[in-house]
Amino acid sequence: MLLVAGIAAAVLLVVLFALLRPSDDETAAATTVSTPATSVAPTTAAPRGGTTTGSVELIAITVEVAGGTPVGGIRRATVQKGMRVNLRVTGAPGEELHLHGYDETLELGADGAGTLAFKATLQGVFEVELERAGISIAELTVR
Amino acid sequence: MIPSLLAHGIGGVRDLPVPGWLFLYGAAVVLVLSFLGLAFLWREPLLDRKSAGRPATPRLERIVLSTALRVLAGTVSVVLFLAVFLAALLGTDHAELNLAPTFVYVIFWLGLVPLSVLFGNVWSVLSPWKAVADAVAWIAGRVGIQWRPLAAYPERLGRAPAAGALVLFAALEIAYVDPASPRLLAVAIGIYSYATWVGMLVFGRETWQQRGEGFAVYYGLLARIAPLAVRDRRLVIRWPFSGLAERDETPGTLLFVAVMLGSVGFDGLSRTMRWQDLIAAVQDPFVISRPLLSDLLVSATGAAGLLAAVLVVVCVYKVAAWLATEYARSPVSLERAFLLSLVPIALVYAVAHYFSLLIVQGQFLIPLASDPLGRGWDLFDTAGVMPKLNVFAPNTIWYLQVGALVAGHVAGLAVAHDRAIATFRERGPALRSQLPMLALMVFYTVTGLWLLSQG
Repeated sequence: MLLVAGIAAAVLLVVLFALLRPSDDETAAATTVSTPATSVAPTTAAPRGGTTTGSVELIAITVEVAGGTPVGGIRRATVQKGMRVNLRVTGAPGEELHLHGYDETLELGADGAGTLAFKATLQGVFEVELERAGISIAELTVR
Repeated sequence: MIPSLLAHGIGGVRDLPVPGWLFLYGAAVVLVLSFLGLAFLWREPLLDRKSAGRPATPRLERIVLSTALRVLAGTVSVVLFLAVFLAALLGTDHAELNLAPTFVYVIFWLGLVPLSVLFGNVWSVLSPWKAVADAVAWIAGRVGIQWRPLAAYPERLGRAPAAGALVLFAALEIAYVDPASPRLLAVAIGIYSYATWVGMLVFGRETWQQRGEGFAVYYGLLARIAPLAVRDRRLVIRWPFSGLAERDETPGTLLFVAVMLGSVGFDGLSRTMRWQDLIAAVQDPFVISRPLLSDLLVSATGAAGLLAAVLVVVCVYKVAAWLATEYARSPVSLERAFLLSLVPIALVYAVAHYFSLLIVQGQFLIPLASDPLGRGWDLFDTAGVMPKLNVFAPNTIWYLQVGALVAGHVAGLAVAHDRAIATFRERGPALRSQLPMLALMVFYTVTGLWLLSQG
């Protein structure tokens, strides 16, 4: 009885593996959550979108801060390893931007805006924080 | 202010979530292995006999149990302890440039896990609190002071004080808003040292070490997995995991094991998108106007989540143990008989969540050792060493995580099975008692996998 159940389960397992293992297409689809639009205007990105310039894999991510917190909640973006990222933050005067893991920091100054440019060489999930208030404004996933 | 959503004390790189298909596949493997285990595992109790082990070679025993080694380990540990405490007290406020947070949360807290599992109860010689107490007792003995415990330990409390200590440490690490603050760590180290020495003075060194000192109980339980142990002052070599089959009905152990599992489980939960959004919602209304209130609310939410996670582990285990007792028609509750089968699962929860953190973040010890206070020193000429942050490819991490959880499941299953056939002479009740335990372990393992798969 248990033996039969065990064998049946083993068969099920093989079937599951065949069904679940992602094909290359799926992997590609799953990894471009934040699809870069093919626009050639990297400076003025839409608040919640990204842009790339043709050949160079450049993605712009903008986080708008108002009243100390990110508008629309924690901004989540996924980029591919190797891309160059322009992380633009507005509306956080006197703050320091801190990208954890990469340990990049940027003083935002009196107008509260600034762009942190870096190359996404390290894979993982990284928090973007307004260091002084201790507020997490974005979470960057590098796949 | 240092990372509030970081969740595990210190460290900036978080592993990518395990992909959904691998989560489902891992869960399926767990189910299949569970059925196969029930069908094919051994029929006679095995681990209990193996836990006595066989004596190690006399030379190895002489070295491992020598006073010289003990004194050396104790001295090194006390020197390190003082260095970390002074760094926390006097060093820079910047958590990442101060030795203390990395040492406490990574080197000590995570690093001792593999050491305990591989080499046995190393904390009994590495604990600076124990080393200082032993030294004081030795000196007192030399000058003719007889040192007796001031009070008898209330045995009905069992390991509950240690569980309390561990849950406080976990709350500091994963619930408090600013866990890596060096000054706060200095205060915490001070308070815990005081409590430990008072406990040892009042109830006796060994008693407090085994009942009240949270870290000693934690590493001690993990050390039961190790193939090396000290029995009656003899060093023995035994099957890995066989130490978990020893009878141990100390009260408070369920609470302790629940803290071990619940704290890592909650750490995983607190990294998920949903929990972070919840924290943001709690934090946002007052973050500008009343930052202190905001911090307090965030810490309280974390503490509530941590306690809830511990409570869930306790309740689910109690239900499973009650069902096992009923199914097997056992006259006595099986609650304590199967408890230690959860220790391997607690171990692999920790391994799956923290091994990459230990290896990646642990490297920061090299530059920090040269500049422990963050003052620009370079004591050992290593201050400029840049840690390698991309040690593992994401695939490697995923397979190791899922593999660890599945392996822990199998080990837990085997220990529970062995306890069942040791408890019941007949196969029927033994197998029936295993069904709820099996369901319980599938629940823990699948929950663990699910937590890893959440972004």
